Order: sequence, then structure tokens, then C-alpha cells
Amino acid sequence: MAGPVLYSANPWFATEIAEKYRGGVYFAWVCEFFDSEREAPANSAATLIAPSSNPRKIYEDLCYDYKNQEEHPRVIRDLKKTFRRLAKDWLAKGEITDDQYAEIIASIEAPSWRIWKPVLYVIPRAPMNPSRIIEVKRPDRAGYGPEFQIVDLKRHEFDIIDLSEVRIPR
Amino acid sequence: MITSLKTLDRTTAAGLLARAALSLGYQDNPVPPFIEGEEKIRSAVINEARQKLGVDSSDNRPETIARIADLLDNESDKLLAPPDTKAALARLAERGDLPSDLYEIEIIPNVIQIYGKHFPLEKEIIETTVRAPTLEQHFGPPRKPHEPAMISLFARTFRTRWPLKDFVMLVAAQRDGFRLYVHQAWRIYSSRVKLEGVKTPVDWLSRFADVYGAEIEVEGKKGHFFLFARGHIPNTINVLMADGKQQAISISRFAQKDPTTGIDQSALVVAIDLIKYGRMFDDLRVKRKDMLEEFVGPPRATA
Repeated sequence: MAGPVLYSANPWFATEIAEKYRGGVYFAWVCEFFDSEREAPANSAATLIAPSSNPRKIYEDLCYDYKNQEEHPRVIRDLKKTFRRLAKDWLAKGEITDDQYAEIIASIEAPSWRIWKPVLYVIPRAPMNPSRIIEVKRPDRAGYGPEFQIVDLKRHEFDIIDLSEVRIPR
Repeated sequence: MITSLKTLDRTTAAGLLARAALSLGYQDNPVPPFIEGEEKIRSAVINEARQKLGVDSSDNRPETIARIADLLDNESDKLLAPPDTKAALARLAERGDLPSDLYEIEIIPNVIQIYGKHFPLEKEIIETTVRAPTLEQHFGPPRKPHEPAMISLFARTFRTRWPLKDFVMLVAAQRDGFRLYVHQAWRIYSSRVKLEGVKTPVDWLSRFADVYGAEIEVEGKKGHFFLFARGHIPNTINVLMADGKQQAISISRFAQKDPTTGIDQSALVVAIDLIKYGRMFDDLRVKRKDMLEEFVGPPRATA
């Protein structure tokens, strides 16, 4: 049975980008469980969700980088590359201006750690048209378990939770 | 330049390279193609990148994919003029969109005086609130009369061993380029201040002033919180109480000018009874070791 809530772990910067440069439209790679490893019912396909797609794992890995501020944080380094690529794509498509492109790149290059703070999107499924929840096809999923994308999420459709100061029980 | 892109303009080619780099981890791309024949061009671009790196087309190890993506990134960087990031950061700072841990924080003497010998701990609490707030609100450059300008408010909860002593630090600061001048910093204890229904940090400040405010008269109106006021407002007023004692009232405000008339005005004017606030502070403050939060220092290294 489909879970009533979808979860997506993202850096705070993603919310900034969505609000300031994408007209309030959010992209989210979502999962039916916050911690698929522990919460998915036994024998369900969700037990096969890869750890790298588990929102809890994504959240914790990013939180580790954010809190430790080490010189070469792996997760943040990869996120920086992704946001740079996205900014170039949006610039080429005329979806952002040269100034906005420069602002995104400047934010990425600046020595801010705050923008990489993880946040959790908690998305109630019921009010959403199911056609907006796109199932990611098998070759593009990290494991056999189901993963989804929502490419047109609006801010009023979900809550943003900051767990960075909370010890999440195991 | 990668030969497969020679017919495209530089920005389009850079975008296509970026999309190619993004696509490397995925086989099924739900996003519609950007230009006609994109799939074909992308595949030619990736093949060319593989040749440049000397890697076989069957080599899809994560480290190989990462190297190809990095090469595509370098190529796309070469196609675009380097962005003026200094000017971009200045624009972000002016709008209040700069990540707050990038500001240089200066706390004005009035705030230092309020906390006296307890200021060293309060300074860390204030700086942590600015660098990692749970709630923030920013007013940009002056656009309309009767609106605060270039002011940022930050709020952050600090937990202690005793939940009744948990508090929210509310900081109000004036932005000037990359500097942030902290003019107000108040501890708000939910055990003492009614916070139901508050949404923005300005609402928090108003509720705080409802409890610790002292009545002053501004523009003929009596009150303890004014979002906006005209004319010169002093920093402190001494009021003679009925019992003959002097009461010190601290008035915090942000001086600014009306964008059209140039007349002096003030925003977020709060008159606080420091004796009442100080009493509460002494009752509820805890030692550093009894606070559960880690403090946030200035950024240590570039991520």
C-alpha cells in the first residue's frame, strides 16, 4: 500500500533556489519512508530501496558534512557540481538571467556552510494528483525499491523540517 | 571546444554540456530535450569526452563517470564568461539574500551594555543565531515610505537542561554591505511571553515588547512597539516613577531616511524596561554547560 507521506532530504540551498530563481517550484526526489531501511514492511519492495536513496541516510550524510566543516566534504562537493550544472542549464534555456546565474555561482563559491544545512520535505500524498508523482524507472534507481520524483512541487504542498539539532532515534 | 557543439552558440553549448554531465548518472531522462537532436549530440559529446580521457565506452565505473562529468564541466566553464561573483554577492547582501554566515557581525555598544558581565556568552548566542537561525526576516532597500529598510531579524531556539528555561534569541540587525550591525538582542522565554499565533520575527519582537515594554510617546501615540516612526528618537529615556525611583528605559530603533523626502525616521522602535528584563534574565539564565546547543562559529573552511 502506498505510504500517506513522502519524504525528501535536500540542502537548504535547494529551497533558496526554488523560491528565488524557480518561481517557487521545487524539485524533489521522494521516498515513501523517512528511513526505508527500518520502516519499510518486511518483504515489501521498499526494503530494497538503496541506502543512497534513503532520505534518512541522505539527511545524515549531509548533516555530517554541514556540521563538521571539513576541508573536502564529499556530499557538499557533489551538490555544488550539481547546482552549477543546473544553473548552466537554466541559463542556456533562458530561465534565469546572467545576474541570477552569477548569484547562484557566487553563493556556491562563497564560504557559507549554512546553505548546505539539510532539511527534510514532508509531503502529504493525499491532496496531490497521483500523476505528478513520477516513478523513477529501474535503471535510474540506485536499488530495486520504488523511488519517485515530483518536478513541480509548490511550497504550500509540504512542510520543511530541520532535524539538524535533533538526535534521531535509531 | 568539443567538436560536436561547434554549430551552437556558446551559452546553448554550455547548457548542453551541463545537461550531458547531469544525464550521466541516469538513463531515463524525464525532462524534454532542450534542442532538436539533443540525445544524438549528447551521446557524441560523451563519446568525445571519453576519447579525450582515454576511457573505453564500456567503462561505467563511478570514478570514470565522475571524470567525464568533470571534463564536461571544464568545457562548459570555458564557454561562458566568468560570472562577476563579487557584484553578485553585493546584490545578495543588499536584498538580504546573502547567506547569513557570510556577514561580519558587529554588536553595538548598547547591546553590550545591556548584558554587562554576561556579554561574552550572549555574544556567542547572538552570533549563533545570526549564522544558523531557525527563522529569519529581511527588509530590502527602501521602496515605500513607512517601511523598514535594510534590516534583518533572526530567531533561534536554545534548549537547556530545564525546558522552562529554554528560550528564543531574537536578533535585529542593520545591514551595511557585508556587515551586520546588531542593534537588538533579546531572550524570549515562552514560559513568560505568549507566543501563540506568531509567524514572523517582527511578531515575536512585538509580543516580547508587550511583556517587557515600557510606555513611551511617539508622534502623539503611546506604546512600546512601533514598526515605524518619524523624527528623532533618543536611545534612553529616564522616567520618574510614582515611588520617586528612576526607571531606565532602553529604546532600540533603526535610524533611516524616508526614501522620498529624506526626513529622519526610525523603524522597529522598541522601548524596553531594562530592570524588568534584567530581573527575568537573572531568574532564568543558565550556565553555558547547562545549554544543550552547540554554538556556531565563523565558517572554518570553504566547502
